[in-house]
Amino acid sequence: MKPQDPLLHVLGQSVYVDDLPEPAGMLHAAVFGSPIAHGLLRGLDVRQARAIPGVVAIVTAADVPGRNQIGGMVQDEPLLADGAVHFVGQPVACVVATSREAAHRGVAALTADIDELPGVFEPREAHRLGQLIIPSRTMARGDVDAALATAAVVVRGQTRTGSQEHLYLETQGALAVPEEGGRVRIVSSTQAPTAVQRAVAGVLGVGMHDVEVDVTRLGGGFGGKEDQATPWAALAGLAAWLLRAPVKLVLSREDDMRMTGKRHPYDADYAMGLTGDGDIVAWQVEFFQNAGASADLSPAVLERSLLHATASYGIANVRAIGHCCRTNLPPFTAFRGFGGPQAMFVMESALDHAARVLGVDRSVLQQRNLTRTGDVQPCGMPIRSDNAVRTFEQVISQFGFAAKQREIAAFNAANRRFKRGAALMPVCFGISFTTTFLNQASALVHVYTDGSIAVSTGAVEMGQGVNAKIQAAVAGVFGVADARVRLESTNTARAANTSPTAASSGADLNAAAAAQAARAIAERLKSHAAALLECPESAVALADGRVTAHGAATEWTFEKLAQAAYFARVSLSAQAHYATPGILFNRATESGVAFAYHVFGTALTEVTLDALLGTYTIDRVSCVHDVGTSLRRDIDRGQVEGGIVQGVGWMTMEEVVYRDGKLQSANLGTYKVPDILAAPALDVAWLEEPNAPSHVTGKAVGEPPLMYGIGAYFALLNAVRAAGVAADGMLEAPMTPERALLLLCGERP
Amino acid sequence: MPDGPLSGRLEREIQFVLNHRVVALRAHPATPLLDAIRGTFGQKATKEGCREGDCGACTVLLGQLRDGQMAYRAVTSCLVPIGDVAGQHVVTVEGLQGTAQQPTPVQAALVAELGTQCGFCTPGIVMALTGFLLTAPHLKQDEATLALAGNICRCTGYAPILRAAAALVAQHQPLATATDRVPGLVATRALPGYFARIPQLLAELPPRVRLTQLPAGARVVAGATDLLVQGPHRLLDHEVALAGDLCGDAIEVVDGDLVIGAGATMEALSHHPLFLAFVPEMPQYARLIASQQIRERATLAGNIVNASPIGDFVILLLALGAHIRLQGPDGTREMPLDQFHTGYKRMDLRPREWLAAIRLPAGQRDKRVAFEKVSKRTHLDIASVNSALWIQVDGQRIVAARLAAGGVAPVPKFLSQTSEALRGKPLDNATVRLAGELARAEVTPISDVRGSALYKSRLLERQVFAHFQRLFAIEEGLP
Repeated sequence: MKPQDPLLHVLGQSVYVDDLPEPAGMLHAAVFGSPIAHGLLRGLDVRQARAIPGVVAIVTAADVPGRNQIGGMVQDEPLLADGAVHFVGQPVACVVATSREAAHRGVAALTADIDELPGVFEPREAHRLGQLIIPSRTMARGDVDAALATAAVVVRGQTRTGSQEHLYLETQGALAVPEEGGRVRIVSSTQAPTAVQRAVAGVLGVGMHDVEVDVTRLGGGFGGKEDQATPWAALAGLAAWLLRAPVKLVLSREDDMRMTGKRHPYDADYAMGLTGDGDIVAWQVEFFQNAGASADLSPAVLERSLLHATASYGIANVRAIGHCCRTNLPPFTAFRGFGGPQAMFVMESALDHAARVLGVDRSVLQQRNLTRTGDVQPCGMPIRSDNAVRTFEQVISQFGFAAKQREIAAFNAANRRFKRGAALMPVCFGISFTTTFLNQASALVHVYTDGSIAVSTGAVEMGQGVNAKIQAAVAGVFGVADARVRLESTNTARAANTSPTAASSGADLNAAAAAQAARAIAERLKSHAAALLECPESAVALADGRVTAHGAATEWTFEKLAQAAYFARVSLSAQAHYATPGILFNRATESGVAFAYHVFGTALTEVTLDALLGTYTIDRVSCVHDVGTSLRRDIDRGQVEGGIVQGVGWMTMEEVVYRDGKLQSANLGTYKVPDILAAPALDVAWLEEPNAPSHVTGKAVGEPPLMYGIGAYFALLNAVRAAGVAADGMLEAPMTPERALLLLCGERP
Repeated sequence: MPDGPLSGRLEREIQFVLNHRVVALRAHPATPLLDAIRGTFGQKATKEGCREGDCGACTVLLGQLRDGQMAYRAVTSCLVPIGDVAGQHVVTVEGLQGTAQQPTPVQAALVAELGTQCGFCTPGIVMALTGFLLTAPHLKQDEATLALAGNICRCTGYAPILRAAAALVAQHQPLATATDRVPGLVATRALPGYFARIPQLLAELPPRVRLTQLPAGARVVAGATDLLVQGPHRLLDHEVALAGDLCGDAIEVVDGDLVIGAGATMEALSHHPLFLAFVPEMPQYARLIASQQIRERATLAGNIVNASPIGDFVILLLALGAHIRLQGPDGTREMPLDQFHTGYKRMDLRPREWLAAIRLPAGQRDKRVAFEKVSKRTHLDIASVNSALWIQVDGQRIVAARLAAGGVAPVPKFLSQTSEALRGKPLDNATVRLAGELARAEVTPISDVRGSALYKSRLLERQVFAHFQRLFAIEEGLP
C-alpha cells in the first residue's frame, strides 16, 4: 500500500517537476524579463541569442496562436509583453534551447529596445493619479462620522506594511508535452490546475479539453502558486505546442524572485474613536493596496482586507475603504492570509496608538473589545461564537500573561542593554473564498476489486497535509486503514473546473466531496452485503476492514465484498460535488454571509532586544488555537507552527526592497527568512470546545496562524519603549534591526 | 548541465565515489557538484533550491581520507566545484539506502515528528542530521541545531525538526564518545554497510594533481562559496586552478608566528587551538559567519581575495594585523593585509600571482579581540556592518589598538585614524565616545539592500561601543 508523503520525502523519492524523467528530445526554456519598469517596447534584438549553440527558438507575443492573455479576475495580463512593459521582470520572450545553460545564455544575449516611461511604485501616488485596477470599494455599517464626532478619544494615523516573498523552496516550473491531435499535457507546480488549463487553452486557441494539467505535489505554495504558476506553465505549453517537442521551464531562484509577485504592501489611514473607558465606538480605515502592474488576485485580496477591517473586535460603527492601486511592480498576489494580515496590522497599530493616549496597556483595549456572539461584522454577517474571548482568556491563564509582564518589568528595570517585551495577538479569520462560486469541489473515488481505493479531487498537496486529511476521511467512510487509500495526482481530466487550493479551504471542500463520493459507494456495498448476509441494510456496517452485521464481525473482508460487488455488477466508482451551504456574499451591496465560519485564536509573543545594537530575538510564541474536532491534530500543529514562524518573518527580517522598480532583494543572500536559530520556541495549545460544529476535517488551519506573527512587531515595539524611546511615529513593518536601531537612536529614516 | 560551448577543451576526467560506487565523468572542474549529481548521474533526491548555499536543500556529505580515517562534512553541493570532489566520497539521500520498510533513524524521526511538509528541503535536512550524527563532537542538541543552521524550511517553523533532532540525540548518546562513529552508525542503520569499504575505494583512486605554477589566464578557485554564487558561467568559460591543487591548508607555528595555509577553511581555523590563542572567542564568533556547510568549504584566502567589503574573516584578520604571502612566477612577497585592497574589488595582485598563506605575527597573540556583526538575520547572512577591535591595554590605558570594519567603505576597511587615536588614551566613556565619533568620520557607507548609509554609520558607532562593553564593561551608549 502507498507510503504517505512524509516517508517519500525523507527517502528522497518524492517527485517534483524538475525531478520528472525527461522525455526524449526535451527542450529547456528560460524567460527574458523586461529590464525596465515602464516603457514602450519597440523591438527585441535576437541576433546574438540565436547564434548561441543550442538555442532552438525565441518565442515572443507574435507567436501566440490564440489570445496573448492570462488574466484571471481581470483580463489585463498579457502572457508575453506586447507593445509595452509594465514591470521589471515582465516576460518579454521565452528562449528555448537544448540545455538549461544554453537557454540562460540565450536570455543573457537578448536586448530589448524600450522607450522608458515614468514608473509609479507607491500606492498612494497611483491613487492620486487615478491608477486603480477596480473602482474603490467601501464596506460600512453604522454611522462612523457621528461616532467619531462624539467619541471621548479619537486617534488618527497612518501605517505601512511591506511585501513578503513566498520563498516556496521549489521554484515555479512546468513540463509540457505535446500529444496527438494537438493536445498538450502539462505537469505544473500550481495550486490552480484549472486556471492553468484555462489560460493555456486560451493562449493556444484550443478547447480546455485539449489541455491536461497534472499536479503531483508542490514544494511549497503559500499562495504564490495560485495565480502566478500560470505564466510559466503557459510559456512551456506554448513553446511545446509551437515546437512539437517537450519543453521544461523551471525558474531559477533569482528569476522567480524578480518575476513573480509577492504579498501586497499596504499603506493605510485610520481613525479610531473610543470611550474614556476604552470601548471602540468608531473605526474608519482606508487601505491603499499596492497591486502591482496587473490585477492578478488583488481585488479579492482587497476584499478580504475589507472583510477583516475590524480584525478580532466587535465595532458598531465602521467604514472601510479600499483602493486597488496599479503600480509598475510585479503583480502582487495571494499569500497566506490574503489581505487579512495587512488589515489586522492597521487595527493593532491603532490600538497601540489609543493605548498610548489612554495610558493603558494595549492588551486591556484588546480584551475589552473582542468580538463575541451577537456582534455583526461590517458586511452584515453575524458572529456566532465567543471563541475570540475564550482563546484570549485561555492564553492569559494558561501561559501566565500577568506573571510574565511582571517578570519582564523586573528584567527591564535590572538590565540596561537588553530589554524584553511581550504582546498578545488575537486572530479572527473568515473561512471560505469570498468569491462565493469558488466554494465548490468535486471528487472521484474508485474502489478496485482488490479493495484498494483511489481518490481524485481538486485539492493540491503542497505540504499542508490535505491528502492525508482526505485519505483519513475516505478511509473512515469505508472503515479501512488509511494506507488502503491512495490519493491520485490532481488532474484536470479527473477533476474538472476545480477551485484553486487556497483560502485554507482545500481540506474543507475536497474532503467533503471525497467523503460524499465514498459514502455513495459505501451505501452500494452495504446494500450488497445486506443481500449476501440476508440481514437488513441498517444492520450492516464497514469497520476495521470488514463487514459487520448487527455489530458483529462477519467473514466478509472489505476486499472480498468489493470483489463480490463487482461480479454482481455494482458500480464501485462515484463522483460527487460539494458546495459550501449557507454562504452568499454580494459585491454590489458589499454585504452578506461571506464565510462558512470564523477561526479564532490568540498568541502571546515574547522578545528580547539588544538596545545597543538594535538586534533582537523572538524568544517564544505561545498560542491557543481554535481548530475544532480534527482528524489529524499532528498536521494541524504543523500548520500552526509553520504559520507563526512565517508571520514572524514578515514582521521582522523579511524585507522586500525595490529601487526604481528593480528588486534589490532578489536572492537568498539579500532576502532572509527565519532559519532554525531565528525561529522562536513554540507552545501550541488547542481551544477545547466540546460542542464544536462538526467539519469533516476540523476547522481550516492553513492561514489563521500566520497572523499570530503580528504580535512579534508589537512585542518589539514594547521592548523599544522599555529602552526609554517613545516610538510614537507612524508604524511601519517589518521591524528590521535597522528600523529598531534607528528608533533607538531617535533617527527618522 | 552546464555544458557550455567553450567548456569542452577545459574539461578534465574526474573520479570520485558517489554513494557506494566509483564514478567518473569529464567536466569543467568548476561545474557545481549538484549539477553532476542531478544531471550526469540522474540522482534527483538532492534538490536545487537557490544555487547560492543559502537554503541547504542540496546538502550532501563529503568524505575524505585523512590519516587513514574518513573525515566527513556536510556541504552545499551547489557550491562545490566538481574538481574538488576528485578522490572523495559523496553521499546523497539515495546513498543512505533507507527504504519504506526500513528508513534510517534520521528519516524515521523526521516522519514520526512530521518534520517534513512539502518535502523539498527534506533531503537536505536528512543529510545535515546524518552529518551531525557522524561528526558532532558531543552529539548534543545545540550541536544538532547548529548543524541545521544552513537549512531553510519554509513550512514547519522548525519545531518538529528540532523534536526529531532531540529524539536522535537521545537515541545516539552511546556513540558520543566513539572515536570512529561509522561502525556504530552502521549498526543503528543510520549509515549503510558499504561505508566500511569506502576508505579502500578511495585509496585506489588517482591522487590529486599538484600545481607549482598558476597557468596563464587561469582563475584561482578556492572554496568557491562566493564565486559559484556569482554564477558558474563566469567560471566555466575559463581555465581555473583549484586552490586545493595549489596551496596547502596547514595551520602551524613557524618562527613563532602563526602561518595559515591559504587552503585552510574557516571551520578548521575557527576551532584550531593555535588560532584560539589569538581569538579565544572564535568558536562563538564563527556562528555568526555563514553556516557550518559553508564554513566547511570557505577559505580565509578566498575571503581576502574575493575583496568583498563585507567579508567577515578579513575584518578579523585586519584587526589582528595579519600579513599575507603572495606567490608568483617571480617568487614570494609579503605585505600587511591592510595594504592589499586598493579599491572596490581591486587589489595588489600581479598576473599569475596567488595568495599562498596568511601570517599572524607572534606579538599579536594574547591581546584582546572583539568581533561584532549585525545583519537582518543573525545567522547565515551578510553583514550590514561588521567590525573587529584588537586592543592591548596596560591597566586602564590603551597601549595599541586596531579597529577594522566592513560594509562602510569600498574595501574591508582598516580604520587607521581611529586606531591611532586610541593609542595612549584612558579606558573610559569619553574615549569610547571619541572612538565612535572618529570611526563614523572615517567611513563612507552607501545605502543599499543591507541598510541605509545613516543606519550603517550609526551601527558602526554602536558596534564600537559594544566592543568596549564586551572587553571592558564600559557602558557607553546604553539607555
